Amino acid sequence: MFLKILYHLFVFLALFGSLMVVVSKKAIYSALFLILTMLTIASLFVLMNAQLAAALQVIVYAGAIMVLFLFVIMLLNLGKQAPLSRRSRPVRWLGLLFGVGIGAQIIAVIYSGFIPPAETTAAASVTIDHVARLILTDYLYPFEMISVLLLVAVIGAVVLARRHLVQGVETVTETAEKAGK
Amino acid sequence: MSRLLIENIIFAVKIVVIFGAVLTAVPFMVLLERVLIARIQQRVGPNRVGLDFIPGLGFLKGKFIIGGILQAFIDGAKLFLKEEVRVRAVDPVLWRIAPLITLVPAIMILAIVPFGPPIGLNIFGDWYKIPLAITDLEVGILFYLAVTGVAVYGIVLAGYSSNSKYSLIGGIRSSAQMISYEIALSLSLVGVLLIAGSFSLSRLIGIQSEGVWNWNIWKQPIGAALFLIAGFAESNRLPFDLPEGESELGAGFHTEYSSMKFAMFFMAEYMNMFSYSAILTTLFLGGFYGPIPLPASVYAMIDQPIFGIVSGVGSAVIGVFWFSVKVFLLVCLFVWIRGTLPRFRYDQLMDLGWKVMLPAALVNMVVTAAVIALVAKPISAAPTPDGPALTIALLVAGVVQVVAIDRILTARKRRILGHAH
Amino acid sequence: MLIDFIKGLAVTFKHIWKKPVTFNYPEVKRPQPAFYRGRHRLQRYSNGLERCVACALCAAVCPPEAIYLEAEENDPKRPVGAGERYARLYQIHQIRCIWCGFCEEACPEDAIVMGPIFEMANYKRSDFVCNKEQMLDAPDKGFGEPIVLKVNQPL
Repeated sequence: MFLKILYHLFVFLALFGSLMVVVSKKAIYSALFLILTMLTIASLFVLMNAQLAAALQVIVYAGAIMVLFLFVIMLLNLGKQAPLSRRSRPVRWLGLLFGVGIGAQIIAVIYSGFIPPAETTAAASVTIDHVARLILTDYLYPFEMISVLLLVAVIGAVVLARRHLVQGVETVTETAEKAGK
Repeated sequence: MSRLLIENIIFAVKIVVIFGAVLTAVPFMVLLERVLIARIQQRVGPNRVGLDFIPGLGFLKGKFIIGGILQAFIDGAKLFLKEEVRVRAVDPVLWRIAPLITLVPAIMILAIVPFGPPIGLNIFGDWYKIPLAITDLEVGILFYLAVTGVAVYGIVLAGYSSNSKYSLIGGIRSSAQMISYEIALSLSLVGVLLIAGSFSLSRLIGIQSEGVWNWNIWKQPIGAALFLIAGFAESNRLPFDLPEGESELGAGFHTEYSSMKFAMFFMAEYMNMFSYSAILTTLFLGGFYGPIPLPASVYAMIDQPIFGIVSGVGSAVIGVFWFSVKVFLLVCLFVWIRGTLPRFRYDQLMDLGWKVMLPAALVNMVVTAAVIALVAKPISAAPTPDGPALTIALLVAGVVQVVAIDRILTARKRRILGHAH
Repeated sequence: MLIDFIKGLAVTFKHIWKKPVTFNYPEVKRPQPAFYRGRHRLQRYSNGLERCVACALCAAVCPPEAIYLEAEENDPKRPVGAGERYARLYQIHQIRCIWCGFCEEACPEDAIVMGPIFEMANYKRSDFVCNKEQMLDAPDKGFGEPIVLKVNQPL
């Protein structure tokens, strides 16, 4: 009974949060509602007895990625409300059409029985042991591939950020030094 | 009454008692910090608001510590009664919730800290085993990391919503600092987790029972040091208090806060200090176990059921005592380091986090894993201490690492300073 | 490098056990050095007569013009001061005073010297005007001989 109330509360909060992410006009409020959504989803994981998934959800998404989002928003100072560009009427209708289409698809998938109902997944608790065993045996290859992918992304970011050093384009200080001479 | 109901009531009582005790400890921590800092700076420290208003205790006036024992409570009362100044340009909603977001994670960490061994309680003829921790999560350490990850939002939002330059800079510094040190913080714990083979705090304590030589600090000296340093950074304590650097930022992220909202930030800082000390104690310093174990017969004697109602009181008292002593000493260490080291410069902070602590944590992780694989430690089902072989091997590895880090840092310092020395 | 760190901690640890250098101020007051320039004192001879002869050199030399005095002839039957004239009114405005000590140096009779009192807080601005009564030494506590001037002494 109590768990059911909690479940409905968290579902409501998650839906409310994700709606507000889209509706909010200030970038920082969008980011905060996204954090709220992440946290409520983590709570739902806990209710499903998947504590590992919940903890990772909070650590990775709420703890790391969203902090970076906030960091960028604060650095760029996106506090001022950005005016929404007025789109033409046909585009809006098209948007509505796609939105309804995607929504219908999601509902169809849910009711098609493709996703097993919640009760069956709630019974088995996923421990760290299980996850670790799977990652290091059956899914070792994809796991390593993902690591390599992330490494590539990191190197790419470094190259993009430090392009002037890589390609020999002079930095601001170098320019200043030359101007000084 | 059903068993489930009684268990839930016990649960609620535990939450109230533990949070009540810790929240009462906060004013005394403030006092401890003020007295200790005063002694380090050869001052007298707070000694004005003591117990001398009680008739017959007037001789206590101006005495060391006792003379100022109520100072922190008076400060709290002052903050309660102060007028709250709200700047018109702030973002009202975020500005209001930011102190709460800072305080709540600091308190939440206490949910997983074991304060002592379990006690037995007889209620209506049924025996209940009550662990002296609010909960024992299977993912305890991950919960801790998750909560510390969320803690940064309060400071960031306070900085952003205040709509002031100082606050914004403080908030930005704080988020950058937290992101940088969280990685080292997480990685510094991996070694301990490898040794325990679990994330659960009860198991992490279990392997440290039976004497000081089983404590994890001998197996993970680097891990403990890194965790301590990262803890300073994450709780914005003095060598790393750039988010509130008084000399350049006014008061940093809480420049625009006053009255009770400021008090919440203040409390959060001390709660963080307490939580870090508690977690460090649990992970590295043997938790509630004393340095030398008493013989089993003594435990059997002191844990006798009293009046047929409670059992295990003796070892629980001893456990809480040792836990408190360790936490107290760690809090003193926090204050001591605050009184010793000056504030880091921002580039030094980033340098330490990314170029020293992160590699050190990674190396420590690999070395620990290798040693455990070499010693071929079996993961036992019940949490019991490992043999001396593993401890000695890991201690040797740790000392080698400490010396190596010291050499590298010294060489680095010489290089950075040039040949001036 | 780690050794340096431990050395630093050891230094602060040693300081914990040293005696505090500060004072419990309202109860224990720091003894002021002889050359301290606190609130002015107007001195008397041992027979109770004021040293001040109301020459107004102190008022003339005072850089912020904080001293105001009005002179009056001494009644030979009931003399107040030792000289021909005495100061009927002698005021020092303690907010204007810059505590430079020139008055002390200028005084030919060594009548005005600066004392050790430094607690001069008040609630009203008008209370900072210090009258003769507040500065005069008690009649029974006179000085037989002029005291040695404190200025121009080695510290």
